Amino acid sequence: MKKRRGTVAKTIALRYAALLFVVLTIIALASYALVYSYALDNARLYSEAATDIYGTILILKSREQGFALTVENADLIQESGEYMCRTYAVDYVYVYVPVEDGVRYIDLSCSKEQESAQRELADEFAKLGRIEPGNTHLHGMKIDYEMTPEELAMWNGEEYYANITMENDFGHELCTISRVTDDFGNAVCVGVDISYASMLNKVTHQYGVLMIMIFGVFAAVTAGLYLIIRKRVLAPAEKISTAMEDFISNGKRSDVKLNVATDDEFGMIAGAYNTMTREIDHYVENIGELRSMEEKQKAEMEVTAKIQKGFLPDGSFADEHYEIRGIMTPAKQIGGDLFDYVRLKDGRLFCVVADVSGKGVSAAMFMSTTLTALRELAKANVEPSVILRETNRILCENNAEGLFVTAFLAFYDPKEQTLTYSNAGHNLPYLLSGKPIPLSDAHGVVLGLFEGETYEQQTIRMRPGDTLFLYTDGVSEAVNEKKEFFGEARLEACLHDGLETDDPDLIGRVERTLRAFAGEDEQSDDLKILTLYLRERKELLLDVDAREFVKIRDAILGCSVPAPVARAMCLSAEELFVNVVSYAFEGGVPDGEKIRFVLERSDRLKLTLEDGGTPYDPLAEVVSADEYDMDEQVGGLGKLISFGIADESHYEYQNGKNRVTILKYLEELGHDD
Amino acid sequence: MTIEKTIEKDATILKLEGWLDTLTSPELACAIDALEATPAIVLDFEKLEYISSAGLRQVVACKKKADFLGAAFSVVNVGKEVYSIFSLTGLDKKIRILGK
Repeated sequence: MKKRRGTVAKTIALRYAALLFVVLTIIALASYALVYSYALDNARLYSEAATDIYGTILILKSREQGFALTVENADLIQESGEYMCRTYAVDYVYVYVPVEDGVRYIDLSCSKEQESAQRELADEFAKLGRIEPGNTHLHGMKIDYEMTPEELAMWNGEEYYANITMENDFGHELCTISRVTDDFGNAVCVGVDISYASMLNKVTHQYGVLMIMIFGVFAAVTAGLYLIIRKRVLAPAEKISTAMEDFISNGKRSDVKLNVATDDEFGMIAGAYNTMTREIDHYVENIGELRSMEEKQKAEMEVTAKIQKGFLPDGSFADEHYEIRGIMTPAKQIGGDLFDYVRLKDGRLFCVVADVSGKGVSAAMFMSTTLTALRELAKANVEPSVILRETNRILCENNAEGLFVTAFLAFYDPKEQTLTYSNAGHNLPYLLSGKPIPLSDAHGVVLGLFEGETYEQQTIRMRPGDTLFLYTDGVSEAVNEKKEFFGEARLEACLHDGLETDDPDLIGRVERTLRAFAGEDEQSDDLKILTLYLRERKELLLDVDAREFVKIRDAILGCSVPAPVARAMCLSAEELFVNVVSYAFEGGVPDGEKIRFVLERSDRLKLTLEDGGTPYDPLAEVVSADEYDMDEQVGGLGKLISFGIADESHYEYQNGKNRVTILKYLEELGHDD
Repeated sequence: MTIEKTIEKDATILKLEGWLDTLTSPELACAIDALEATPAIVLDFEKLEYISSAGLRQVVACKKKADFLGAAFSVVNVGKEVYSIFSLTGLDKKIRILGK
């Protein structure tokens, strides 16, 4: 960049100069042509005038002194010729008369410059014997010469002058000849030769001087202009651009003022630039301050969010009685909605969803107070309605800002399979038991506003296979582009579909549906959903040994299902297990080989047996009871029993594993045990 | 599982209690081996909670032993659940079951 600085000025100056030179040259050539032709005209006029003067002098002299213009009076005529040559700028003057086959000179006189040339000529003629030696004025010499048409026209009286341009030993000459007649009737030709060179040189010399002067003036003016431009335009422009570059690269700012102390545009630009840098500096300072403040706040928020997150449980948990899954999408702001669950020592599960009005640190702090109170009370083994009452009391004591919380809380007792809940103004959760059922309303007023509020509580049956779906209003109040709420109806429909299709990822389904609904809307970031799915799950890894059946038996009997169902399941499991132990590894059992046994209880009892033995589909060859021959067959009996008492049986071979699944429905058995 | 063996004048009675499964059926097998000539062999399932195919096979073995000994064979006091296994396998048609 730096190398190119100023090239604009030079370019402009050079181009201007070149243009000027061309224009001036054209003007000079054109004017020279004009002057030249004018000079030619002038030379001719001068030559004609000189001829007239010469003729007049000769006539007057011959009249005065009474001699005829003939060869005999050549000496007298010569005097006049010499006078002409001295007085006028002519090269030659001469008088001659036409004779037969040529002309006869009476006199030829010349200027001083031409004397030597004339003498040499005369000497040549003298050597040839044409004239006497010393007769340099060629008196009376006849030369062979044919008169030109112009001369003839002049001699015959048709033209007054004969102008002839000659290029000969005498140089580049203009000859003007005229005819005069003396008082004695002698007609002669009088001629004058002038040198073009001398005539034109004078003009061109003067003209050249003039041109050089003009060129000089123009050059001086151009140089002056260049200097002025450089001083007034280029220098300030360069100064401004340097200042700007420094501003960008060196971070120099308003402490370096731009000094262009003129009243012109550059002065204005410099002034504006100084103002601008000052403003920018000011602005940058402000931004820096704002940014550091913002960053500080952001960091504080992040810390708060981390602390808040630290309070709260992980998104998922599972034990043999239930599975908890939750999503707490990372909201951009810290806020006051959350879910929480605590496993109590007596085996019960406490879970809560709550939503503090407002956002930010105050909401988060209010929430942590609420959460602490709820947890402590829950651990103290207090009834849900009492927890809400006491939490309300605690919050009312310290609530200058008038914040409030909605909360739904519940205890699940796996022994009794009951859910006891109480609600303080929160969205009603759903019990998913075959279909979404909103929990019957037992709600009180929100927490934190009214002292002395009391709350109701309710207990419902919750069976394995059921799911409790808790959520905050971020779900139902998610808004789409048309400003419509997602609403309970859409939520219910989504849950319904999920149950219909037996979707194992119900939360994911709701979240996806919600995001599809809300599009890019920010509110969809603010989701809190908690599901409590009741089921029992046991998993055993068993040696390939029939004695391991004891473990299977104990696992099934430990399950909270009616004893006949448990025994039936045991029977199925035993037959399958013994079958695998007896036949799957006939080539020998690899070291460490295990058979995986999984028992799951929801609204059904599900048994899965997985082994890495020979691929074998036990379902393929089940003999019917009628075909069974107790004297012949041994192995068929087990499969017959196993699949006979199951409600559903499946087999698959996948990843080198035989997997048999047996389902036993529990619905018809009810809860009458 | 426990097996209580009663030898009367006209019959030998094996009274089973608990679970007759893969693990316990060898006990019944031993008891069957030990059976001696008698007019009748009776398996009393009143207190039997559970029977699997391994157990059924011993019941069948017992019947064959009875046939061998020329004794009458019957299973008595079969509970609902256990009987359902007999019927499921069709053994109810091949073995005399009394007093369901």
